[in-house]
Amino acid sequence: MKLRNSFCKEVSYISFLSRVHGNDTIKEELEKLVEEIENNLKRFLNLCQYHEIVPFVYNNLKRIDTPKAKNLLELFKNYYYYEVSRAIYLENEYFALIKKLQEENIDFISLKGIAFYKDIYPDLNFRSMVDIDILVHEGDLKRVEEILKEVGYEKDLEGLSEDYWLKDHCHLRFRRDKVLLEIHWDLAFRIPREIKIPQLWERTKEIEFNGFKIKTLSPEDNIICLALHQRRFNKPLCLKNVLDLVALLNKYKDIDWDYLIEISYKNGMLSSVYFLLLQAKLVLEAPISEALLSQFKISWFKRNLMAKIILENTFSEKLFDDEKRKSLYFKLNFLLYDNLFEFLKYLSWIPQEKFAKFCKFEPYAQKTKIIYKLRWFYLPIKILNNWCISKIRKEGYGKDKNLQKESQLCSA
Amino acid sequence: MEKIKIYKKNPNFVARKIADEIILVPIKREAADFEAIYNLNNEVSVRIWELIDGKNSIKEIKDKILEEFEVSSEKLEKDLGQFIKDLEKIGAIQLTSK
Repeated sequence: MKLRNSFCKEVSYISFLSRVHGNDTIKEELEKLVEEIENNLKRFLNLCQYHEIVPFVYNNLKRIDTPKAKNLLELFKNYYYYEVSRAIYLENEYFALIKKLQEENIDFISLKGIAFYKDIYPDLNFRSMVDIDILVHEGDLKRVEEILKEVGYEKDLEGLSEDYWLKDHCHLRFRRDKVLLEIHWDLAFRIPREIKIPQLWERTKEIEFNGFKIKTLSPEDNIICLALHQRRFNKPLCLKNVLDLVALLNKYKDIDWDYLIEISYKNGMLSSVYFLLLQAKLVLEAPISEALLSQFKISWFKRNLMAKIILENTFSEKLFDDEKRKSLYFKLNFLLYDNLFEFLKYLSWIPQEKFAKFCKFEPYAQKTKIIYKLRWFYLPIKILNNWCISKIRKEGYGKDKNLQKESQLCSA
Repeated sequence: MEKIKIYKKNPNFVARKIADEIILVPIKREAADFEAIYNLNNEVSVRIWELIDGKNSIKEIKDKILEEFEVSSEKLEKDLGQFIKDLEKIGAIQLTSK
């Protein structure tokens, strides 16, 4: 399968940036790629927004001095500064929070954005950050809640029962002013199975951050965390996660792949990790060898299906359509579990709240309760119905003016 | 412009240096939202920001800038005045005395 030629110039550009960031000798190549970006600059911006990579692209556009680059910069500018100002705001809050947690002797690990930008990116203006994620021991949760209440945070259950959050989720949300804080006690939901990483806390690394010493996950556990994040609903194929992986691999050349594969195998997530690596390889041309990928022992059929989904959808208009994105997420989930049984188990045990969120129902309405009980019939019928509708509209029989003929972003 | 004004930085704003610019962001409840940010992306504006410390008057700031940079007095007077107005408008600086 030809990979590179399947993408249009926007993708080549983003892919190129991820590989050569910071290298000034390739300025001419960058200029050439920018000039080749199609004239629909707004679409390019929309894609970057979906994939949460506006800051990353903006910083690299600044290095080029052509009229087209300047046009792109103007288009991106407000979004970029909004992202940066939010990141600065969150950083400020984060320092106040960790100072308090350390004073109260709470053991914690900083996750994702807030740890990444210090560790693997040049600064916070390279990565979109929407919240602060912190992992604590489950036994400390009550105390952390009290501490957060003291400093003005309020728990946000989003209209759902606290029981749901504690039993079926892996974090609680707290808000203060514009800050969204997620306190995790686990890296993923506990259905269909609890993800067990026995040495997670022992393997943490310590980094120096504005006079604080903070714990972050080991590079291998960070990769696991990123892979698990793909199983969440809202942003299938999001490139921000993939860029994080590439940045991690750029910095940490001696990843313990044996450990990673062993933990992934024991937790039924070989497919999730493989999928993340495959995205990095196909979309961002990360130097991930076939020899490494073969160690995950993913079947030929599944590998090709994953590649097909990545190639056809990462820059597709489907990402901007709610129903199509949900359908894509659903399809992906068949691939992100190591066996079909796991995914079916997840569907069997899916909490009513998650089901309602996926179907956009009121979580505790009578209608939701009934359909939830019949979910094994409802979901296949809904998917089939959506498929039929999209087929009919493709043939031009539908009267809906908002739907247009589905097309791939780039021609092969 | 009244040159005897002295300004200080609003503690509800954080000034974060990123690469070659300083970005001002409000961080407290009463301050505006993320749209009320300001970026200082040239050496002169960054230096002016550093000199706004609750001690330097506007005249003293102007004199220091004229010493340190090659700028004309008239242009600096105009630009400094506008810059101070902009910072006051977003609430990043506060008048301390006249």
